[in-house]
Amino acid sequence: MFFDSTVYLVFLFLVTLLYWRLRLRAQNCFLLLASYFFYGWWDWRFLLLMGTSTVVDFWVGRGLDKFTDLRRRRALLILSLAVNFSFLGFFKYCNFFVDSFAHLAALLGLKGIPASLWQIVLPPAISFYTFQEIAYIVDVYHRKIKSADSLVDYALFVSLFPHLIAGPIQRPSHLLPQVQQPRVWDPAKAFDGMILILEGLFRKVVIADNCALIANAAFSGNFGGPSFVTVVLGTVAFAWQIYGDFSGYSSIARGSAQLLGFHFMVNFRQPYLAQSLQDFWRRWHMSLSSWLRDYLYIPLGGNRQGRARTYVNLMLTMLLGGLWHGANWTFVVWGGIHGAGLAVERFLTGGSEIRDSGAFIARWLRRCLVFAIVCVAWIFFREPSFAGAFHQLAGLFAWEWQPVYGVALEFLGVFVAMLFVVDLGLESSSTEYLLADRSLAQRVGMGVTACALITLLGANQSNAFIYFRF
Amino acid sequence: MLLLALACCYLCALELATRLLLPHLSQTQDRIAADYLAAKSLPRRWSDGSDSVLIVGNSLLADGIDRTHLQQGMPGYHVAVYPVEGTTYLDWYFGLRRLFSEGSRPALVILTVSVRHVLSDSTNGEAFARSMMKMSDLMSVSAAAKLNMMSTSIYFFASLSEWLGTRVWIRDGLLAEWLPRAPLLAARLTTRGAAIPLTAVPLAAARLQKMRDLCNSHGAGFALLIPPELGAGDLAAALVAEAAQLGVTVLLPFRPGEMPPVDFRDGFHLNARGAAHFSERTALVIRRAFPLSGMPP
Repeated sequence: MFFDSTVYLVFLFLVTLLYWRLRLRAQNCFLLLASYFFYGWWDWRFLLLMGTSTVVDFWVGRGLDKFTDLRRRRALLILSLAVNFSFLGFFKYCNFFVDSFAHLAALLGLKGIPASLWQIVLPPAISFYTFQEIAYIVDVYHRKIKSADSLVDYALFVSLFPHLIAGPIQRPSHLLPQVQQPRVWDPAKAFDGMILILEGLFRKVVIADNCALIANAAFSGNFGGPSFVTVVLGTVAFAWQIYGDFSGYSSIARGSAQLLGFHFMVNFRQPYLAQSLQDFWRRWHMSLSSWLRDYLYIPLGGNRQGRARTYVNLMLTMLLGGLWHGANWTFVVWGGIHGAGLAVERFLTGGSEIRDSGAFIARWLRRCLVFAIVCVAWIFFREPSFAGAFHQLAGLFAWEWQPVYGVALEFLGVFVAMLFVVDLGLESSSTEYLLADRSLAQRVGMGVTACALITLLGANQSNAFIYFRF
Repeated sequence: MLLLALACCYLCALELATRLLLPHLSQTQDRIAADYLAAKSLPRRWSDGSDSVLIVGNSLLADGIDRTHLQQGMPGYHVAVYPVEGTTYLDWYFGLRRLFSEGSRPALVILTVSVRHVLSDSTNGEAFARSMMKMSDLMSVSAAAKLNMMSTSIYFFASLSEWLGTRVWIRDGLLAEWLPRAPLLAARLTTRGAAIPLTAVPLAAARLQKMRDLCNSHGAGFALLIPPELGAGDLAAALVAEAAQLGVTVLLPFRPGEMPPVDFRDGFHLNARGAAHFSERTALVIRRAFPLSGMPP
């Protein structure tokens, strides 16, 4: 179910209604069934896959808690990682690596190496729930948390429907205790949850879906061959599309969870107002970037083993982060651009943070520079091939103007401005949603305005959330 | 609870406002509603002895046919034109099923879409679900358009709600008011697929045969009318020949590339001058292909 569909809103309403009439154990069983129903709505066959990895990790977690012998514990950890990575590797990366190997072999003059072996369908959410399960196993291994006592609780931690498909990736230490303890109906939090859902819908159907119209037209050549204007138009449109899309999804996820008495971590914090790339990654897809920091960058040595090793670690983390997004070398380059940018930034600043200081113009120049770098990287994220990406980049050096570009800029400007104003408001208030610290009447007014914008300006439901692919 | 109650009130008000006000605010919706009512109540033969001809299609029909011109060129026929923008073959296959079930009994049905539209597997989404699909056809639509459960459920809800069914129109209308030049973008925002190979022609002919069978089962004749295209190509001619083998009439008043560019508004749709030329010749080819003496009794 897409979060912006009527069927999801009906589903959420019914689940919330029934859920609060049950006791804790029954609540968890009911939510687990609802979550499996939600997942099975896409493709019920993949329930078996998720169920298998859930059961394996539950028993591995129990074993890690029970055994004290380091060798046995390490063997269990390896077993769990092997199962999780082999599922992810097979379903997401098998054909990618086979194709890449075949291309490499062809370049070396070796013939007869077959390309794609099978038509493999990517199971929805596999990247997200795999990372969440790995975090659980690693945390239990390091005895940062205790393993779950109940399979139902653990399965619910993995599959709770608001975060299941595209995050935010929940930390076991944050979500598992919430699953295990009774939740209390809090009207104020439920109210905030509904506002978050409305805010998310606004970001998705008003901003992202309308920006998508311009981005898709520009990248598919409907405005003519790539030229400076069309490339800028398409890239900026895509930048705001993906931001509206994913931050909208995250807001709806957080709002839905809040209606059920759960709290999810914030996933986006005005990323396009970042003044450095490091700052950007503290604001963009925060659940993934903090996961990569804690479970990849720090175990690799982080910044504790000298400057050169720090740059290597940064690069490796971002390259793998790029590959996590999709089985394509363009995603790896996307990660590489960010990794290189972070390394250069670290080299220039000597590791000290770029603070929100300096003259107004200097702050905005830094923001524009970061946004420009992020946009160049988005070209590799958006284009399915290097040829396409370089074709777009080459267009930056060609100039052409058609009257329709002015209309497209006007159209894009209206929708970007809306979200930009929201972001400026959030940046200055540091609240979860706009006007969250104001009176009830003002918040209700905000909700009604969001409703009006969603119902009147929402684009057609034709664009699935971008991160559903990952 | 307050916000929930407000949301419910808002949705009810929205639904009511859409049902009551939209047809008066949107010329397009007003036209579609009027054309639908006219099409739904078409008898086979009128009291003056004229036979009903129902011409359905998409924007290529809306912009391509001058109704007055066409009717004047077809004495003895009562022509009802029912274009719905954004529609393709599947919209009309199921749209005709609904019209027939609601009592429409034209003597002849003419579908006016391009060959690309005949081959399209998509429909006009929520607007189709609301205004053209029978609820009992939902699962058949789902199978024909290869919808997943998600999309099927979207169609289900859209078929129940006027607002869901028309929200794209509402948005487009608002944007046109807000950004008067926004409609200029429309043609650029539609991604047209790759060129259709000649190997797809048998599939198009088979689809037309299916539509003809549907019309025949309700006592109506059927033909496909291919609107003029700016670029030359042999796809249309191939479809005429392939369909003829299956006994389906395909009318081609202008060969692709035959109508001069000056008669097109945006490279796809005709302007008023082009519409006059097309209507004139269309009247002629319909009269030739379906003479009054040969119409179903």
